[in-house]
Order: sequence, then C-alpha cells, then structure tokens
Amino acid sequence: MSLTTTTISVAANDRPVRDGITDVAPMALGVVPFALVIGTAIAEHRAGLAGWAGSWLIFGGSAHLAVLRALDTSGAALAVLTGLLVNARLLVYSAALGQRWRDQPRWFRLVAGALVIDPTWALAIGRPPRSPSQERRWFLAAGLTLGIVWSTAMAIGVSFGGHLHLAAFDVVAPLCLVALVVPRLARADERPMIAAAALVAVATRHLPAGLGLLAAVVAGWAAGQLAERRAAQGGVR
Amino acid sequence: MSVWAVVLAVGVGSYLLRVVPLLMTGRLTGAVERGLGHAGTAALTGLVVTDVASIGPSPLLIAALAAAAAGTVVAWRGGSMLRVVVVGVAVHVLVGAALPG
Repeated sequence: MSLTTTTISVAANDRPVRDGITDVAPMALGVVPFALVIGTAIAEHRAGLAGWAGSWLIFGGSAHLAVLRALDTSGAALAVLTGLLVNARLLVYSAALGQRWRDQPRWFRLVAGALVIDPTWALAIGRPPRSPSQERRWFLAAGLTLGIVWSTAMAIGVSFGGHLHLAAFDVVAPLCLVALVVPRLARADERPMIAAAALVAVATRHLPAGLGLLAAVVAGWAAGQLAERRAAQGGVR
Repeated sequence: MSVWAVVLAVGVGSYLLRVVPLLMTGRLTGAVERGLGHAGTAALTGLVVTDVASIGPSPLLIAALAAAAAGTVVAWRGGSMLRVVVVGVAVHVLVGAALPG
C-alpha cells in the first residue's frame, strides 16, 4: 500500500482527522482566490520559489501580500516589519490556544504553532473540549489541509499568474481582508480601533506602504487603549 | 536583502509570534493580550484601506470601492469569505464595464 493510499485510509477511518479536514474545507476553498492573487503577485515580482516558500513559512495571506507590496515601495527592512506587524495578531490567537492546549505535549505546541492562522484559530476556539489526543489529530488535520490547499493554489498562481491577470483579481485580496475585518465591527469594543485605523490609513495613503500601515496600527492601538480606559472609568463610577 | 532573506525573516518572526505564547501559557497579562489584539485588528484594517487605495486611478478605483462596499455588506450579514469575494468581484466587473475609460 502506498503512502498516499495509507494516508487517505487513516484519514477516512479516524474521526477527528476526518472532522478536521471537513471543518476547514469551506474556509480552505474560500481562500483559494486570495492564494491565486498572491501567486500572481509573486510571478510579477519574479520571486518564484522564494515567494512561494512564504506560503508555508509566513502562512498568512495578508502578511504575505503586505510583504510583497512593501518590497516594491519601501524596501526590505520595512517589508519585514510590515509582515510581522500584520501577523502580530497571531500572538493573541496563540495566547488563547495556549490556554486550551495547556495539557498538550511540547512537541505538539511547537508543530501546531506553525499552523495557527485566522481560520484554524477560529475553528479551534469554537470547538467544545475534546481529549488531548483527539484535539491534536483534529488540529493537525485541519491545519495541514488548509496549508496544502493554500500552497497548491499559490503555486498555480505563480505558474499561470502572468496569463490570468484580470483587473478584477486586484480586488480579491482586499475583499478577503474585508471578510476578516467587518465581522469585528459587530463588537462595540473593536469599532473605535477599526475607525481610527481606517481614518489614519486613508490620511496616510500617499506614504510608502509600510509607514502608512504603521501609523494606522499605532492609531488603532491607541484608540483601543483609550476606549478600554473609558470603559474602566465608566465601570468604576 | 534578497527575497529569500525577507521571506525567511518574516517566516521565523511569524513562527516565534505563534509559538512563544503557546509555550508561555498564562504568562501574558490580559492587558498585553488585549493590546496585541488591538494592534492586529488595526493592521488588518490598515491593509484593507492601503490595498484598495493602491489599486490605481479612477475608474479602477471606483470599481474597487464599489466592490469593497458590496463585500462589506455581505460580510456584515454573515457571508463567508468565498461569498464576499464572489459578490465583490462581480460588482467590480459590472461597475468597471459600466464606467467610461
């Protein structure tokens, strides 16, 4: 029996693995256009294998795209800073998962950590608690499925991106980000941050990409801190 | 700095961002976690704006803004990422075709 056949057989017979794959499938399908756009951007930058390697190394579309765009406009150092700033939210995701995984072995936290991103975090946090073994199999199946779909779609974008360019594809990446940001508007404590970041991003849009984003992050962070302080003072009264 | 160096630097940094909190369970204070959440949300919001603003001159920008508005409505109503993208791209194509230039 080949490795592929064995893998499929294990996945089919292992309930947590099967659930991990099926739970993440809709989100994996949803990010395919985003991956194609990034692949196209990589092809346009002639970044080839290095650019595609980011599909696994960076494992975050918004950061990946921000890095490519900042490389064009702001240079390598700002590109690195921009990518890390965009991925800063991963600290919060992992802190939340750390609570959930406090009984997991260290090797799992080191391996699974590489697969923490918006879809896997959102799915994991929303699941009822399971045994540590079931949780490990579920998360690794979900994360690897997402990663394989993501990197494959990006490879297609890199390979055929030059032939696929349509003006409408330029809007796919921001639409994916809209899908991530807009649901947060439903939370009153997130609205000041989003409003402040959006206003500052508009005002600084003519600055090199990294600087405008930095300013937006600082503004959003400050607005969040101010809103928290006001809420705390309102509670004290 | 080559593209490889940039991708590796962001990759290593991103991995540390992911793994350190998993290994430091319970050692991040609530204030630090909330502050990081604020920065992350702000970064995503800033990216949306800078991405749309960089699309190009009108009428492409008008079509992009229309697409973003349509996508926002779909997302607000609970639509999946795929639905947001499909509706937004459709609006972009229609508005782009309707505008002169």
